[in-house]
Amino acid sequence: MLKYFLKRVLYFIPTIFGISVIVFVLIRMIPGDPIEIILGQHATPQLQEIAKSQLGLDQPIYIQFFYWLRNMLTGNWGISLFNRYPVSELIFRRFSFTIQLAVLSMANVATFGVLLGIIAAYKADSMIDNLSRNISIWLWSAPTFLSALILLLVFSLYLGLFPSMGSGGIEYLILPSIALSLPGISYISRITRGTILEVAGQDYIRTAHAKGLRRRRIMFRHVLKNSLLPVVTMLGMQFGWFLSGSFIVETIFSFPGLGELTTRSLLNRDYPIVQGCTFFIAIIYCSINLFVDVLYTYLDPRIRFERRA
Amino acid sequence: MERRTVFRELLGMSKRDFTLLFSLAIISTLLIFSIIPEYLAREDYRKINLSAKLIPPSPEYPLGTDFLGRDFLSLIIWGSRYALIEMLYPTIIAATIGIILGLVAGYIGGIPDQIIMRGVDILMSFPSFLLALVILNTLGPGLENAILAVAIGRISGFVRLTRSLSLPTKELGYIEYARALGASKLRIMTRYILPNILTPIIVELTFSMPGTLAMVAGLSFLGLAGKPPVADWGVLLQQARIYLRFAPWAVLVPGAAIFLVALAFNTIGEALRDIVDPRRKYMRIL
Repeated sequence: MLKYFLKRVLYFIPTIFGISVIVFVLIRMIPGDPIEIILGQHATPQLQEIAKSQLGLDQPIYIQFFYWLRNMLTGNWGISLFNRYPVSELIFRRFSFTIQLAVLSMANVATFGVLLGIIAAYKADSMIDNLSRNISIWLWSAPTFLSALILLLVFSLYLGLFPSMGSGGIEYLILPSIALSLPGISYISRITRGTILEVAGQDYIRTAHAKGLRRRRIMFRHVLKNSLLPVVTMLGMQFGWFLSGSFIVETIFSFPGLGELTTRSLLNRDYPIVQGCTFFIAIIYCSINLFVDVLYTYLDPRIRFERRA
Repeated sequence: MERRTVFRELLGMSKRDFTLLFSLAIISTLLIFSIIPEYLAREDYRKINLSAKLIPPSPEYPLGTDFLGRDFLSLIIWGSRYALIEMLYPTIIAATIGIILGLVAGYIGGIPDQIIMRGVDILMSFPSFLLALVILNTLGPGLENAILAVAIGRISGFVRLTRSLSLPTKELGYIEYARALGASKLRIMTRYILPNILTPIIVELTFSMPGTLAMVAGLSFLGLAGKPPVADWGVLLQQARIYLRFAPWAVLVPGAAIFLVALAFNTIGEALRDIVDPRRKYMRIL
């Protein structure tokens, strides 16, 4: 186990390096001269030269990359081109809002997704199951911007139950978190149903039935315990997805999270922020995935064995 | 399974399954709309009529009009072609690259496998929408670039799928036999492995389409992909957003179009999966 864990963490290092290369290249390849953006179009050539050497832009590209990487890894992510605010501070402040939204969305998905899945599996092939299947595929097919706009229209503009934009108390979180969690609820409920039915088809469950145990007891004691593991992994991956900020939903509700910051800076051409956000989100996202993967291996001895073999 | 049989079985299933029949009808409508919009749309999408702006759905305008007085029904018909392009192109580009890389990683293995899979890991460290967003930002806004950006974000999924399917396939006896007869690696990959793993890949393609449509529409929604006066559904949504309170149909109509197409593809994808792999029927996860 320890060996597997160390191996995974070691794999993480080239991944971070790869992420850095991609972010660096993508930001560098943006058309336009950074010196011109900073100094304006009418700076003298001498001034441009000075700025170039100050920023290290006269160095070869791989030297530039290593300077840049050192800055990124030490948290020196530059300042916003517009309000001169330190990028790292801005990102961390916005991230705290995204965490709130992510936690609430996650609670939605974990509660309703798993519950729906259990009900659908318990009543497999009944009308309820069919209904939940249809609802799932509907929710899954609705793009989040559509559900967000409909929620905004009905609950905020028409009924006036919730604020339509901004942040503050929990009332600002409810609509965005519902919009975000709908596809997740449908996905998790399908996974839950599938794994429960898979476990319920196994021999030891038939034995439990033969022993004369009551159906409900078998469901909770024997089936659920063994079938929730894949669900937990999927939930973990969902959480990584929520934490990476939801670009469109946050924009629709003007919610001051990471996603809104990223899209807004992108449209404003505030590249230090875009770069910082992209780097930060990628690191968060793949750390969560790494954590989930290791946890899964830890929790399920069968996989541990398979991977060792 | 023979692919022609799969299609026949899909049609047979649709006789019993109303949702499936409905989905097939939606896809056929989309195809017809996108092939001959000029004969079906009542108005040209560039025809502006400010005296008829933001009219709610009525007998004259069944789906209402937009803020330039354009008939929404016509706009949706004109937009079908873009919707089809936005589903097909990214999926085809991503699948082609993904299948090639996946076959190489799965069949040849060794160092090429290591390199490809590390690349896939890196691509998968970015949430797909973020990746599309920053790539598009670098390439510059526009529909072609949006398609390319979305396609790049989708490659890794196809690589993983193809690789995982070709790993068990290459151990099969007939592959060994082909190798013994002196077939080249390229020939084995394209003639013996690929045809045998193509069916699950086609299922995956079906599921991928609504995802790419929603993603390009999302990019249009942020003003980065299609540009007005094009009747692209995402662009229509983006323009209608500020009128949400006064003209909700302007948001709901293009939104519903995207939703229905996505629903149709997901339903068909699920039916295909049931046909191709009946054992997994109870495991269906959309």
